[in-house]
Parts: sequence; C-alpha cells; structure tokens
Amino acid sequence: MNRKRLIIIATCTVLLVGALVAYYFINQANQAKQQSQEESSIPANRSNNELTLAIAAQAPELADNGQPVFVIDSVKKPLAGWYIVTMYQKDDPGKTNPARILLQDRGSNKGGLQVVMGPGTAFPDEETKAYGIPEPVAKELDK
Amino acid sequence: MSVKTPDTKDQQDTAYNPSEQHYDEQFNRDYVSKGLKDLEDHANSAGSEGDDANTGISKNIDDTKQQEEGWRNNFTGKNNADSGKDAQKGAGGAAAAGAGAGGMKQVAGRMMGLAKRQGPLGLIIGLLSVLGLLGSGTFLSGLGLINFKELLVEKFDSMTSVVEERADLALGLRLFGENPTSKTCAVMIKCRFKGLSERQMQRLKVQGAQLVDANGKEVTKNPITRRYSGGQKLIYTRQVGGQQVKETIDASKFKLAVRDKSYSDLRTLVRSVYAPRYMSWNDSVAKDIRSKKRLVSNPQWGEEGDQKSANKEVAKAVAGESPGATATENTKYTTDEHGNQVPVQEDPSAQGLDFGDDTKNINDEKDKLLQQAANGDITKSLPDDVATVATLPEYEGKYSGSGIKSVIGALNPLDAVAGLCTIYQLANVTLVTAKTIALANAMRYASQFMSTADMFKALDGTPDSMEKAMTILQKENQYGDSYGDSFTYNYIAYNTVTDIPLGSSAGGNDTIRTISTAINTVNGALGGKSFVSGACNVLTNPFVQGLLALTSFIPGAGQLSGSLAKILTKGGMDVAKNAIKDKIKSLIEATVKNLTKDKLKDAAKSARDQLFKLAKDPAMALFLGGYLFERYGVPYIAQTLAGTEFVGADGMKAADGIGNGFDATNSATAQLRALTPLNKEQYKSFVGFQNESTTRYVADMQQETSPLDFTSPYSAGSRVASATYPLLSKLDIFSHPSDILSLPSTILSSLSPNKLLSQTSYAATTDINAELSYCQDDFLQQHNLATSPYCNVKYGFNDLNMLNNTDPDAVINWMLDNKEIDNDGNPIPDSDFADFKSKCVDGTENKFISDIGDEEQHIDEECYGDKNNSTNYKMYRLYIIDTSVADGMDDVQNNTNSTASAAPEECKTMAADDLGQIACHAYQFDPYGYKWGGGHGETTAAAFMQSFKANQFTPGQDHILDCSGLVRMAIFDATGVDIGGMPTGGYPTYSKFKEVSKQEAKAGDILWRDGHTEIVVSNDPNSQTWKTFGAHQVYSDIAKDIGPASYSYSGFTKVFRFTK
Repeated sequence: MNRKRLIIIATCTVLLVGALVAYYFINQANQAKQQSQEESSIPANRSNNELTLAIAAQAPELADNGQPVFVIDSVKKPLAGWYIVTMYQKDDPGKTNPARILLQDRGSNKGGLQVVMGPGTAFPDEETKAYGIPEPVAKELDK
Repeated sequence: MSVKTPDTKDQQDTAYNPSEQHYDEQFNRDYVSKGLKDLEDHANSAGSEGDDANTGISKNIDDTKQQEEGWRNNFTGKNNADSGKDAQKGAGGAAAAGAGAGGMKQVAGRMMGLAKRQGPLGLIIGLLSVLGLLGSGTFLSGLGLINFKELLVEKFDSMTSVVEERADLALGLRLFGENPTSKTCAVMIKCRFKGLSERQMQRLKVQGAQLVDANGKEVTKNPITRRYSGGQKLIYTRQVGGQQVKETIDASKFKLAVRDKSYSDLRTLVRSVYAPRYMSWNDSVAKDIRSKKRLVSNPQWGEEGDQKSANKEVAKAVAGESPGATATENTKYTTDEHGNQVPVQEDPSAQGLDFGDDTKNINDEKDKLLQQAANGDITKSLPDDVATVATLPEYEGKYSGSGIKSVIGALNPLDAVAGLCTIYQLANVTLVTAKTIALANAMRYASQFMSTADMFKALDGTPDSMEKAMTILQKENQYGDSYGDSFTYNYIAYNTVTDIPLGSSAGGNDTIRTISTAINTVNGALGGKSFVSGACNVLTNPFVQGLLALTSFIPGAGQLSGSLAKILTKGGMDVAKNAIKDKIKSLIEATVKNLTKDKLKDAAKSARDQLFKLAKDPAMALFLGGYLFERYGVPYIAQTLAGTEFVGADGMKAADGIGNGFDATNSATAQLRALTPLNKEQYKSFVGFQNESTTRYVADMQQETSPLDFTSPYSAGSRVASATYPLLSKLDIFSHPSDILSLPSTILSSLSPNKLLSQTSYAATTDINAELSYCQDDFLQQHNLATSPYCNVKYGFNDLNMLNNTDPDAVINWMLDNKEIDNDGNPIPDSDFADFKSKCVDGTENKFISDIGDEEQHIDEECYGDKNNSTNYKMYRLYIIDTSVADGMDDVQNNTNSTASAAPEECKTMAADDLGQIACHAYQFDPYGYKWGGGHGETTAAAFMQSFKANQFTPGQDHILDCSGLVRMAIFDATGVDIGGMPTGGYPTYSKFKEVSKQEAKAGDILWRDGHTEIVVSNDPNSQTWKTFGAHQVYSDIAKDIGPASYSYSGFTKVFRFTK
C-alpha cells in the first residue's frame, strides 16, 4: 500500500517536473523563434524611395499635397536601423542649407520607418541626449 | 505615490482660497454690498476714498479676530456644512469640517480610520473621497499641508496690509501700464512696474484670462524686455449667479474692482499672477530667511536605502550639522582669518554630535545636587533668633531696622523653603529648557513640511518635492509607526530615549497633529517625578544639544526678552540678565560663525555649564526661566498643549501661536521689507494664550506629582517655594515695606492649583500692558506710527491716505525727477534718499528699539520723516515699499533673482554695441519653432520683422526661421542691416563678415560650419566651449527648436564678426 503510494507519488512528481522542464525549453525555443522573426522583419537597408515616402508622410512641412518638397541628397546609416537623410529643397536648391532628418527603422511590427528628429541643420547634444539618441548616431547627426 | 501639482485652475483656486478669503474679509467692510458702479461713484466723491482707506490697517485687528473666528469654526467644524470652501481648509480643518457637517460625520470617521490604518496617504485618499462627495471637484493632494501653511500665511497677511495696498496699485500698473517708450527700456525701474513677465502672462492665460489692447487684440510681448507691456482691458471668467461669464475690466476700474468682494474671482485671478515675495521660494530674501531658520531645503527624506541611515541624515540635517546645505553634503564650516565661512575637512571618525565627557559632567552635577538635597546641605538652617539672622553676611546691611527685623522672623521658614527652591529652580529651568528644545525640534521638523508648502505656494513645488514630504510622513519605524504617527523614531535612531511607540495616530499629513504627538513623547520622557534624571538625560542627548544652539534664532525673541528683562530689572538682576544673555549669545555666535563640531561642542559645554551655575541662584534662575521662556516662547505654546488635541478654541489659538512662531520668519522679512509686525492687540491675544495655556498645563502636572516631592517643580512643596521667591523678587520691599505683610496671605492664595507655577518664572509675562507700555513710547503714538512688542517702527507709515492712493508710478517719477534714484532704481550717491536708506533702512545704524536700555528708547526722528520735509520722507518710504512689492511680483526663475531687469538674463551681460545687441535680439525668437528655409526666399528682413512685430506668428505654435534665417533677422533687428537670404555657404565670402579666431569670439559673433550657423552668447576659452543661440531643427517640443545650446570649438569651422 505504502509502496504503491510512493510509486504513484514519485511517478507524478517525475511527470510534473518533466512537464515543467519541457515547457521551459519549448517556451525558450518559441521566444528565440519570435525574436528571430522580428529581427528578420527589419530590412537590412531601406531604399531612398522608402525613406522619402516615410518622411513625406510623417513630416507634413516637407510635403505639398502628399508630394515631397525635398530631394534626398545622401543617406548615412551609423547604426543598424538608423538612417540620417540629408536633403535639399526641390524648388530652390542652393538657396537654403541642406537639412538632415533622422529616422529609425523599428520593424514592420512596430511602425516601420519612423522620423525621430528633424528636419534641421543642427542637433545639439542637449537635444539628442534628451531624446535618447545613441551616441554614434548623435555624433554623425550633428556634424 | 505620485502627487499632482496644482496645475489646473480649480486646483490653483483651491490653493489660493484661504488668502483670497482673507482678502475678501479685509475689504469687506469697505466695499461689501456695493456694486462696481457704486464704487466708482464712491471714488469720485472728494475725499471719500481716503476715508475708507483710512480703515485699512486699523481694521486689521477686527479682521484678525474675524479670521480667528473663521479658523476656529473651521477647526471645530462648526460652520462648514454649507461651505465646500471651508471644507478645503486643511486636513485638520477638513477632517473637522466633515465631523461638523452632520451627514458627513460618518465619512469623516471613515477618513480618520483610513488615516490610522494607512497613514497619511490614507488620509489623503480619504480627503479626496470626502471632497469628491462634497462636489468640490479636484483636490490637491497634500492640501492639508499647504492649507495649514495658508492659515499661517493668513496671519501674516493680516500684518502685511501695507504691502497689500501697494500691491493692488502696482499690479494695476503691471496689467495696464503704458508701453515702454524705449524698446531697450532705458528706465528700468519704471519698466518693472509696466508689464507682466512671460510667466505672469502664462498664469493669466492658464486662468482663462486675456489682456487686450483698446482694439480688443491680445497684447504682445516686447521682444527685448520680454514683458507684455500692458493693456487696456482684462477679460476673465467670473462667477455670476452660478454661471460663468466673461467679464471685462477696464484699466480705470481695476483698482476698485479688485477690492470689491463681489469681484472675488478677479481677486483670485490677480493673486495667481504674482507670488508675494515672502512666499517665493527662490527669492533671495526667502532663501536668506530659510538659511537663518536652518531649514533643510533638500533633506534625504524619501530616499531609498537603510531606514536608520536615512533617519540619521534627516536628523543631522535638522540638527544643523550641515547647515545651509543639503543633508548629503555634510559640509562643515569654520571661520578663516577674514571672518569668512569656509568649509573644513570632516573628521571621519565623527558620528553625530558627540559631546564627549560632557555627559559625565552633567551626571556628576546631577548626582551632586541630589546628594546635597538628601543631606540637607542645600537648605540652610537658619537660627531661630531673628536678630542673629539679621547679622548673617547675606543680610548684613540690607535688613536693618526694627521693622525689617520683625519681618525676618516671618521670613525665616521661607528662606529655608527658598533654599529648596535652588534645586527646584535648577531643575525647573532644566526641564523647561529641555522641553522647549525638544519642542523646537518638533517644530523644526514641522517647518520642513511648511517649507514644502512654501514651495507650492510659490508655484515652485513639484510632485517630487511633495512626494518626498509625504514619504517621510509615511516612513515606518520598527513598530510600524510612521513619522505621521510618531515622533519617536528620531530618538530611536540615536538610542537615547526610551523607544516607546506612541499609540496615538496622527492625522496623516496634518502637521499639527504631528507636533501634538511629539509633545506627548517629550512629556513622557521628561515629565513626572523623574524629571531631573529625564531632563539631564535629554540634555546629554547630542541631538538635543545641537538643537539647543540651533533653535535660538526665533526672530523677534531678542526684543521680547529685552522687554521682559526691562520689567525684571531690579538691581542685581541686571548682572544675571547680562551674564545669561552673554552666554546664550556666545552660544549662538559660536553656532552661527563656527560650525565645526568641536567649537560647537565647546561653546555648548561652556554655555551649559554657565547656565547650570547661574541657575543655582534662584534670582538668576528666575530670570533665566523667564528668559528661556521668552526665547523659546513659541515652542512652549506647543508644549503646553501636551495631551491636548489642536481642536476647539484653544487649539485654534495654539495654531495661531505656532503661526506666530513659524511666521516670525515672515515677520523678519516684513521688518526688512516695509511691513508692520504684530500690533498691540494681536500681541496681547498672543500672550494671553500663552498664559492661559501655561496655567492649564501646570495644573495638569501638579495633579501627577507627590506633594512632598521637592525634586518636582509641580509638587506642593516646590510650589510653595516657587510661589514665594518670585514674590519676593517682584515686590520692592525697600520702597514698599508694607508689601511684605501681605506675603503670607499671598502664599496661601498661591496654593490654589492654578496660580502657583504660573506666577514663577512666567509671572512677569502676564504684565502685558506693562511690557507694551515699555515698547510703546509717546512719540510713536503721537505720530500714529506702527507700534509693536518688537518695537520695530522704522518702516511704519503714518499717512494711510497717501499709502492707499499714491500711484507707484508717480512715486518713481518723483524719485527720478528729484534725482533721488537712477534709471535702475538705485539711490544716487549723496542724495537725500541715499542718506535715508543708509540710516533708516539698511541697518547700518541701529535706529530701532531692539534692546533694553533707556538710551535706545527713541529711534531717530529723522527716519520718521517729520524732521525736514515730510513729503520727501514719505515718498522715500513709499518707494521702499513699492520696490519690495515689485520684487515680489517679479518672477524668480531658475534659482536666480531676476528682480534687477526684465530683459533676458543673457542680455544683461552683453555689450550695448551692435554685436551684443545681435545676440540679445536673437532671444526674441526663442518661443518659436524651426522652419527649414524660414527667413529666406523673396521675403526681405524688414518685411519679415514687420510681420513678426505685428504678432502674425504665435509663440509656441508657429515655425518661422532656420539657422541662417535667424542670424539674418537678429542682425537686421539689432543693426538695421539686411544681409540677405543667402544660406550659410555664402558667409565666408560675405563682405560684412570678418573672420576672427575661436578664442576671440564674443557675444554676437557668428559661428559657422558647412550647413549650419549659430550666434555666440558667451565664450570660455579655457574649456574651449561656446554658449550659443540658434535655430536647430524641428523637435517634438517647439521650445527646443530655436534656443540656446552649447558647443565645443570643434563643433564649428569658423567664427565671423559682423561689421557695418
């Protein structure tokens, strides 16, 4: 009787522990898979067209009836997922200074390309720090 | 826990209600039941306003009584069932209000239960609930704290009617003043009266008000002075018959309307526009006062970590171990050879305030005294033979003549009792001292919370500061009692006082209850039969010893004690008085000037030794007791409330008394800033309460003590001694020998419980009129000048009509026209005003009756203004009052005193030349946003600036300029030169730009790199950095778009200097 009970209890315990261990590993695997999928959702590079569309959509002062009023001059990517776009005005090139605008690619699940700062010609430390911009990005931004 | 700041209209209204109510009462008698039209008619009647105005200050007495009645009702909950407003008056008040509101009783009970279970937070939650039920809308968390301060401030307000009157006039100038004729505001002192600052305008707007010009257009800010230069009408929201309506007040009607009770909304509004100086947290005067009070501005309360350590940090800070600094700095100071305070190296081994072998000395003294008492040595056995007694050295030459000899027979047993009185007096003084110290301690803690309330009042409070105060209230000791529940843990932290957790729960953040609880603690530790031991033990507590020194700064106490001493002055008492005063003074000085541990230790030891020595002499002990009572009079009021809740009429009086204590600071400010301290009636009421409460306390203590316990001041034996000796001291037996005959009956009558100790050390204070008559002199009375127990009359103003009706602008013009002041408002050297200010205001000569001494009973008549041309002197004093009012109205931001100029702070340091003005003018674009390409294109600089100055752009909303656009406009506005719409690429070749080195760069120079430009504000070659102003980029917060920045030299390639 007692021995049978012990066997039953031991068996249950082993099964329970085993189930917990199995759950743990399965869960870890799922999380890793999910993370991998998310990472893979961020493209390695964005095209100028994608950047232009994102900027025009999010910075209304840079669009006229949905059409961008700027032309991208150059794009820098100081960190993965961060884009510094230098642009000039479409209608009066040379009359104004080129401006920069900072975007972050947060992946398709989190909004994709997002304008973080700009447009502007200066990004002082006080402002980039206040906004939590990574240092390599901030340095490149305020050159 | 997060606590909201009063950032909404409702909340601000709530926070200001008490003062506003007071104001209404203040002017109720003059203007109640009168419409604005009536008021105008009233004003137009020749002389009528002056008549009304004359009631201003004199009505303060009645007003104060009415206030007290209101407070009393508030505390007792007698008169609040119909008033949500009353219910908002403080936690205690609110709790009582609930209790008095019939149907709200149950709610109030629950609330208090909540407070007991969950501490202050619970009470706050409870209050929120109650007020929600009352339909009072949102409620400021911690309102009780603030409102208690409001009660005290109200008391102060009643003393500041001088400033209130002038504030109305000055505020009218601020709102409706003329536009400064010069954009650089050449006459700065006039500019200070003409126009609101940005912050003041912001407050107006928050309240839904609008200042408009004659055309109904919103007034605009002067770009240079950054002030809104005044309008013609003020549009605000007013409650009329339960409806909110837009009311328009014309400039011409403002003065009368703001005093009209029916226009209370207007009053509330304008009070929100400016913060009175004494309530401005960052004001230099307020800082100085706080420093003298040794308030802990930033204690470590609420910090995470070891509780005991945190407690110690707070305790050390309160004890003044790091005075003038935060509790974390632990900075000690010493005095160098130039008399300046300099920080010294901390002794790492020092823990708290260790007074070393002093403890042994105290205990030795105690044991010695007890042994002497046990042996009977302390009481002299006098011979039965009267004639022999009369030949004893102490009586020889004094008691002669048959009459006296016959009396000595009666005195013989008395003298024996008086011998006992020695130890009694010693113990009594010790007890009083210890208790008052401890109570001062409690009050100091309370003052920390008052400080927090002050911050909120000054609109400088933050959720964090309130949260810290709330956190310390809730911090629990090992018994689960929070500070809000008990005062004991501070002692527990030092293991010097029995760690008895108090059973009673304080009313959350109701600070009064905290004090009351502290009183219970002190009495428990010190009171009763073991008072000698207890008192001595407490005196050896280093924490208390530190407080002994550090609580000696109750402003005005010196004058009070001086008055007392004057009464007591009889022969040898002068010696005692001076000796004690000197010792206490030395202690104070040591504390103030030499804040090192060792020096404090030595000074305290020396002073205490002397006090003990002096106290052995009953005559001196008598004085000492009185002196200490006066010096610590305010805390003692709290002491006398031991075991008594601060409720009912007595409680109200107590709060009033404590208010006097706390606001002694404000009174000091008042004295500095042209205010009038307590008047005679207020003071009499104050002292009257002292005496009442003293009697009550003594009666309670007497019931607890064995009749033959001579070690207790409350025993019948001690009472006989204490009752007789002071009588001997008071009666002038040499002038009136017959008085001696009445002694026995006097003694007998003194045995009634309520009359004994109250006639000992404190006897003299009952003679209020005598004290006041000393303080008042005929000359002052004849001239209708302010008189007070503080005897400070130097700023009194005796022409109320002139006070109420003379336009501050006219005063300034008069001062300017008569060349008394310069454009900045400073006295012109060698002018009559400079002389007056030096003699009568700045304190370079002591012109007030601050001390005893016949030679100082009259202040210099010159300071009154009646000596020469009285109009001149009145104008001088009005000017002093007005400028102090203006100080209060000027916003104090960023921890700087910005009273000197209304222009941007940065402009003050910039040159008046083109370069300096370029930088200065750039600041006008600070409130606007960045616009890529802004300031370029076809637009000329002139056209752009015309639009800008015509207010076609909205601050905080419109994006207008980019970096080079900003540089262009700043240069144009400062110099009239338009450099054109070129981008920065054209700068290196532009003819009016000359390159200078980076080290040479100064304000107004142009920093350049490919694609960006900024304007230099300042240059630090040592660190190779610039402070700059520029247009940067579009940011989520528009305020950051265009504004100041910092750059290292490497951030820019070239520096250009503009030349015409």
